[in-house]
Amino acid sequence: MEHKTPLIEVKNLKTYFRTDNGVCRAVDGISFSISAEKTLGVVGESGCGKSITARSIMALVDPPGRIEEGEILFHRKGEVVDLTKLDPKGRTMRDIRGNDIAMIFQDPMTSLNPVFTIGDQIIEGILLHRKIGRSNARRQAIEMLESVAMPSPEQRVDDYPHQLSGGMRQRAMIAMALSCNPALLIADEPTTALDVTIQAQVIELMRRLQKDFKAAIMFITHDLGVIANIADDVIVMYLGEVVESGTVREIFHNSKHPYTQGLMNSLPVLTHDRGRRLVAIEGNVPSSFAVPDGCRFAPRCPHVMEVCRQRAPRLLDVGNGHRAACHLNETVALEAPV
Amino acid sequence: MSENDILLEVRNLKKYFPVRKGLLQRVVAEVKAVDDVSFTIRRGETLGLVGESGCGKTTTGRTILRLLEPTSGEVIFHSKRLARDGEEYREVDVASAPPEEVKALRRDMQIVFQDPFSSLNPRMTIAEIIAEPLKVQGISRGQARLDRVAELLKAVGLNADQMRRHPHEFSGGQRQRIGIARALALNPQFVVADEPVSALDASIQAQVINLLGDLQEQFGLTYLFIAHDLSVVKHISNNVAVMYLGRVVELAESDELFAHPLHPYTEALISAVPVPDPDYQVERIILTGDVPSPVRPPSGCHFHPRCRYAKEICRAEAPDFRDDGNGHFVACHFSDSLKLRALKAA
Amino acid sequence: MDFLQLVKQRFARDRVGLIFAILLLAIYLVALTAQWIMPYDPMKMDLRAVFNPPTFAHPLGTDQFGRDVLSRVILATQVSARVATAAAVIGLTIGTALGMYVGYVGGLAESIVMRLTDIMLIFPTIMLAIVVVTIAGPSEWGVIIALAVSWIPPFVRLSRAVTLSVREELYVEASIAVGSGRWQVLRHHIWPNISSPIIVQGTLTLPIVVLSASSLSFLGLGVQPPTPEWGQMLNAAKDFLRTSPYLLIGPGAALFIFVLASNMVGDALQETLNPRLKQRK
Repeated sequence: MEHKTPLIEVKNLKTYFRTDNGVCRAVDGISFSISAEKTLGVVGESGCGKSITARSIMALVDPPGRIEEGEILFHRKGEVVDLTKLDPKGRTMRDIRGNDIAMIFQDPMTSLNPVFTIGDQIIEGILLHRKIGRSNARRQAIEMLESVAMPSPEQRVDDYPHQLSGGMRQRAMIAMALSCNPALLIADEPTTALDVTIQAQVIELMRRLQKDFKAAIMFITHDLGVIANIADDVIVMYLGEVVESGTVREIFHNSKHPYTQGLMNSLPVLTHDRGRRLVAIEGNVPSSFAVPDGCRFAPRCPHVMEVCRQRAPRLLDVGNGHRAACHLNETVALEAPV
Repeated sequence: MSENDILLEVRNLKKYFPVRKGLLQRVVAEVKAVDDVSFTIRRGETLGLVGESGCGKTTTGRTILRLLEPTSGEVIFHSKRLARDGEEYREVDVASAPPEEVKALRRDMQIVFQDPFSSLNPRMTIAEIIAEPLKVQGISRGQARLDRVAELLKAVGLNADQMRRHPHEFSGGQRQRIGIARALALNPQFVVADEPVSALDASIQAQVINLLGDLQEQFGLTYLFIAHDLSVVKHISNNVAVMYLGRVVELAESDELFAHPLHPYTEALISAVPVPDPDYQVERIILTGDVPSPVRPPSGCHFHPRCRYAKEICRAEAPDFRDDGNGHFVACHFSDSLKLRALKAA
Repeated sequence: MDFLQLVKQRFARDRVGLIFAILLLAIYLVALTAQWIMPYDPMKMDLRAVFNPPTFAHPLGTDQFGRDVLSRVILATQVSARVATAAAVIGLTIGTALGMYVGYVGGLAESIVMRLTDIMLIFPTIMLAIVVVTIAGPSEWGVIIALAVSWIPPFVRLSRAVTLSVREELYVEASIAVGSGRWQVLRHHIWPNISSPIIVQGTLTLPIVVLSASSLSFLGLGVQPPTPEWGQMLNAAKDFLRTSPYLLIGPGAALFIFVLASNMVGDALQETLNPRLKQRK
């Protein structure tokens, strides 16, 4: 991964949920960094911990969840702040939330307050962080709606969420998130609930906005197609761990982890021939309450070796800033001349 | 397979939902969820029905099965069952069949639902769930019934000795397999798969798609595969029908549709699908506007407000659904003259 | 997880709830075994021993006719428990069956039943009960029918509401898709999935019904003397408040315990139900 200027550095983050049913290791020691003005794609299936990671960064993890270990270093205005050490309800974190780091969610219907107009909600966000007066804030809100290509923004600003379509609500959410010009925008499955033609619109919009607002994006999704289209760098998560990370080209054209490869082979791709049989990954994702010993993917891995069940592989550098956690790479590395 | 071996003929199917207002519940408008849909499916093949939200594909599936009462139209089912003395042919119009006939037809026409979580009764064991069709139709009893359940579980790749468990003890993918086992219990000829993999994780989707394909071969099933994911539909279907706001706008053999799309909506859909390859650059056709609601569809050709080739006639007149000569149907005034972009190879 | 299993789990942890559950069961036990555990004949009058304060021989004293209060309270427990439970169960059964059916089929039947239900709900329970009893005449059965009838509407409402949401579940559609008829769906799919909230509501109904029954008896419209009933005994005791206040203790305490215990148990059941409503994915 090219470290241009790291905006966020996550180091060995562990977020666990201690419940009556046991300990859920939702995020179990992950490290990655997000560069300024670039898009990091976080890809993984349900239960891999990608959403919890985002919430950990935003300090929005509710009990019984807790950040147990690790650091989240945020490079802000010249200084470095460890977000895990801040009081989640405290002044500093509230300043950061919405202002420096903003988040948009999958389902805009449930994350927008149905009893307030979208204008009010955007204005509220602006006024929380800027002392500019209500009419100025309203003007800014309309400008934001324009920049997210909302049709008729002067009218829409007074609409309620239920009066807008799914695509428009998502635009309203994006407008809200960008209204204070954050350095980082976290998007948690923002297009998953949208129709494919609307999804294309929203992705296009986000790419343009990234350039205009010079923001970094952490784009979380399970859809490999979307990742290929928007991410500069990618991390692949499985059961609370990062199993592979690298530039988007490295990951797609030169993957060094059986899980990533398995995911890509199992997708029906529009440009492939029809006759090709999909190569499915065997078995099911284990529960985060009962994580297997050794490599977590071993029970389902087509290339599993004895060592995989005994020892968990570490994230190793396999060249070009590309890292993967797989014993297969160790074998190769051992064989390569020093 | 003979050319005339057609299993299902849908003719001018319509399903309208009344919109009622006021104390006396007067009908003030109609939602034309399915608005004159026609297609045929040959025995042993899969027709993919694709479209975005509000296009009516799910309603079409349910109306064909008489889970919803059709407003008008015909659904001719050409049944070929193995009876004691050879094959038994029957031709029935599902849309107008009387209730006893419909119950008998349920043995031949089944459905797999989208949501593996709410399509199984949480209070029942999976043995009871899979056995219910047998019970309702009065087929087999006692041990024979349990044996059939075990057989079905095996056929879908599950362990038969888990049949006393409850749905919540299984994962999403496993529950979907249970739903498929239930659909197969009565040995149907025709199965409507209503977005069967949309709610599943990517790594599980492939398992279920492969399973559906294997079962089709094994049992000679005919599928109507409803989905919004074009990649999945292309993979599994022999023919594809594209729906927009209650109407079929294009219908063609799968490869042909992607190689030579004739409708602007199909063209836009194809270009909008994100291909998992960062080097696959395609200039996306970004449609303006939103998917309209079926309550107030645009006049004439429903797609005209978002179509970049639209002309005056498109607003005034709805185009006919016509065959271009090779079994490739399209509803567009300019299908002969438009040079639309095909799916670009990787 | 089964509702029953959850309930067992719940009471294993919730000591207070468990105590009340035991208390409630104890009351029912007394009600069931009344005939055998009464120390004296509750109807036997002894005019030489009227208004005796509590002693060893008569732990709750004797009443204005020299009858043993303890024995009368025990018998009253049987009567009150019987009346309240019968009324609640009948109201629940008829109300639920009706609500389930119209909730499922909808249409004209539903409209008619719901309007009738709304009309009945306008009247306070006790008023409806008084009207019925006045027509049917004061008696134990009169009270039971009166209270059962006044409790049908709330159960119609509740069961219809829950049925409406269960009706939309995909597994109901799946059952129809294999050819199930109405009865099959109602019995195997609707009922098992609405039974929990209905049962919880039934348990919470008990205390209110028993108070209503006692109120009716207190007003002289319920169980007639010499059959003892808590409310009726309280009514009689009120006339001798200054001279023999101990006459209140027996029926008062019994009523209080029953109402409290059934309330607490109902609450515990309701709380058990709620976390279950959050589905695990």
